[in-house]
Amino acid sequence: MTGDSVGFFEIVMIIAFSTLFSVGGGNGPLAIIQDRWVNSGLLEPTLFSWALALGYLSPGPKAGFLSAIGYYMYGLPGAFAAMVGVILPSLVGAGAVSYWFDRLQPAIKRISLPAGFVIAGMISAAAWKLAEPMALGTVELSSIIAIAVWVVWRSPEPAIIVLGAAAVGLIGWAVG
Amino acid sequence: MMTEPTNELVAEKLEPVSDRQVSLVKLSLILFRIGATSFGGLWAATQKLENELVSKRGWLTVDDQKALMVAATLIPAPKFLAFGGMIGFRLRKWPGSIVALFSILAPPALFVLAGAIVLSPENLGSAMPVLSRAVGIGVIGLLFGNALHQIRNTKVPLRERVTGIAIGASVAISTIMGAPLVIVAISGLVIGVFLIRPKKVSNQ
Repeated sequence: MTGDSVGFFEIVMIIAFSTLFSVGGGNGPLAIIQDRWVNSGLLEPTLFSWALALGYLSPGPKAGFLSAIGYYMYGLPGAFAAMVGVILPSLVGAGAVSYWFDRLQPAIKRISLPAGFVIAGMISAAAWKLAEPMALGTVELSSIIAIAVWVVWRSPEPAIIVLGAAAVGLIGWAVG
Repeated sequence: MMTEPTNELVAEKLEPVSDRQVSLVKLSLILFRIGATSFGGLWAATQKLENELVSKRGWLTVDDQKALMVAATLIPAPKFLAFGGMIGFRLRKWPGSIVALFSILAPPALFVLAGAIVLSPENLGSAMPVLSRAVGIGVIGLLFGNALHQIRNTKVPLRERVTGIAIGASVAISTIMGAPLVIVAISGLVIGVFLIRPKKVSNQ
């Protein structure tokens, strides 16, 4: 755990706010979390990547990775806070859309179109900021490009990529 | 391969189900099971959801399911969660929605939490730096791929696409250069709403 100045309610608030950037299924929350906690030094970049990797390996909604983020920030209460944080906007959104779907649809659709591009920018910035401190070599950069192209071209199961990367890392550790 | 439902005129299908009572415990168990056994996100789970919610339980019709899946993409929340929340809401209103959301999120949250506790840097020892670097590279590749995928999946004509990419690139560059992310993102959304309009898109 890396954070000692973040409490239960801050975790709920930040996660709830970050969840609002999930419109259309984007990964906006991770950009907000990185901006608020990783960039400020409250959460180590390696733990952030680790939580994301575990999220990609897990079944069900990918938002499960937030429980690890909450845990790293504030222990088990933090994990619960993260769950509450992601559930609150989902609950309000699901209820509101169930009630007023036809009224809300045009407004949300107008936001959804540019949101795809804005979220793409946010995700790219998050990826860049994860890569920046790693001082990547040519082979590593080429691997990143290859993975990105593979994801766009074939949409592989993310768990396969994460497991493959972990296997390569373990082999590297065993050999080295 | 599952396809995303495209019919957006589904408002009339989002009416509450009949007064058939589904117990909260049963709702919780079914959604927990769906959360624990579905891989690849909401679209990849379409068949499983249909099997469980339409064929076995009769809680939804196929059209209901499609309508809810489309509606889930419009909610500013993870799609799978939004879908679960709406299922719960249709069956048992707000209590159903709360139970559904916790139940569907519990499996991945517990899995990840267990992973975070068991596979801690302390437990992994000297393997952790190498392992986390390799996994980090995989995650970074995935993120860049997801960003490109996000652009590719936004169906707009060329002119709007170029505008959107310019907005996305501006958001990325501004954030990397240290501008506050929230302000940049909201500015990008506001500019995008004015420059990328659904009517314009559908006319072309």
